[in-house]
Amino acid sequence: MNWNCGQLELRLSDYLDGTLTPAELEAAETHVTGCVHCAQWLAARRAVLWLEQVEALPTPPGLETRILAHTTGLAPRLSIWEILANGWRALAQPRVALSVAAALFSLAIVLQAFDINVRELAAADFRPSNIYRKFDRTMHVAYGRGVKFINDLRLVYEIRSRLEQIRPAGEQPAEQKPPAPETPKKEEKNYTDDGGARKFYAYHRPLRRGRSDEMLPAS
Amino acid sequence: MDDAALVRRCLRGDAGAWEDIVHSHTRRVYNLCYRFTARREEAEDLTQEVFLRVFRTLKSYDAGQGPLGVWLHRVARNLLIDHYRATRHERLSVSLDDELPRLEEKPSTAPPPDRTVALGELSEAIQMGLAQLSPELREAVILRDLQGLEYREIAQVLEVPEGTVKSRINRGRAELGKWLKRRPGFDSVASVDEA
Repeated sequence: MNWNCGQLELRLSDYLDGTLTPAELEAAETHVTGCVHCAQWLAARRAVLWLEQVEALPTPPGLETRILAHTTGLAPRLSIWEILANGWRALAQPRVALSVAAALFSLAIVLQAFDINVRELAAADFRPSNIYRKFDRTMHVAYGRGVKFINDLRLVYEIRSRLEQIRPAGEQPAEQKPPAPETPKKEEKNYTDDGGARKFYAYHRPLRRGRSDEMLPAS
Repeated sequence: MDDAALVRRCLRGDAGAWEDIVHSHTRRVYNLCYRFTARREEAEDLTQEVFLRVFRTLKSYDAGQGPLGVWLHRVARNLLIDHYRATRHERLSVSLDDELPRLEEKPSTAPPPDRTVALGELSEAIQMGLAQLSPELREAVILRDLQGLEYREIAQVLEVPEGTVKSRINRGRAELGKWLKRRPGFDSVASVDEA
């Protein structure tokens, strides 16, 4: 099969879109290789179709200002809206948004640490005496919580050491068969089972004893 | 406002009128320079140079010879040709290096259907294709197909007869089309992917 110029022109869009069947494509190519006029015309058509899809580049930012500065030595007059739009364009970038988010996050953490509720802030809160009082109070509360935590810890260890003391004496051999190191969770689970408490204590014994020795006076 | 009045206001020292001219033509001049040089910084410098030259020679603008945009294009084109001549040796060595691997490429055969080309890829391919053309063909194609000037306006810009413009455009397009056909992905004219 061989095409003539008219046939090629009729099927031009199919040819350029690449939707001809292999046989038709071969016919078209054969004609194009033989016909200089069609080859040239077809190539030109292809270029135009691609060129139509090229978009113009935007003016680089600041170029107009530089041109005006070079020519008249004056910066352009900008309306208030243009200034606002430029400012917004500069701000509306992922980097800026991320920085703002990070700053807000840090501020939130600091405010929370100092126990400041932004919604309930009043003018009086900014008086130095009030700021001092608030700070003082926060410090006291933090100190009180710390003391309570330490005392609670002491109580827990005390209870544990008492439990240890009242444990029957014949359960020491549990220590001789320590559990496999890769299954500690299983051992913990056994705590609830009948007789599991023994294994649990045996497993945790050295650690527990060390700690209780630190915390409590020898009894 | 017509171009002649705008230029008159400029010549009277009205900074606003000059700003209007710069504002309304910068993008087109920049695009022309970019398509010619394929380098953004160079295109920016050349755009500045064009406006500097226009500003200095504003008195010589004759509205009877065509719109201001066409005059600006002519100034830009002359500058670009000067620039091209000045940097030809540098470009020649670069383009020869580029050319060597490309000669080895075989023309692609079966065109893949449903192929979409990214917008940036298209712009780059066109840019490379234009760089293969001689300056006369390249400027004619850029002015017609990328800048959208009429044949008559291009004839004014290039200061050659309209018939010459048409033949240069046709030859330029044909060469560009042949070059694009050899490029994978551009052998058939598929749609451009905006993403």
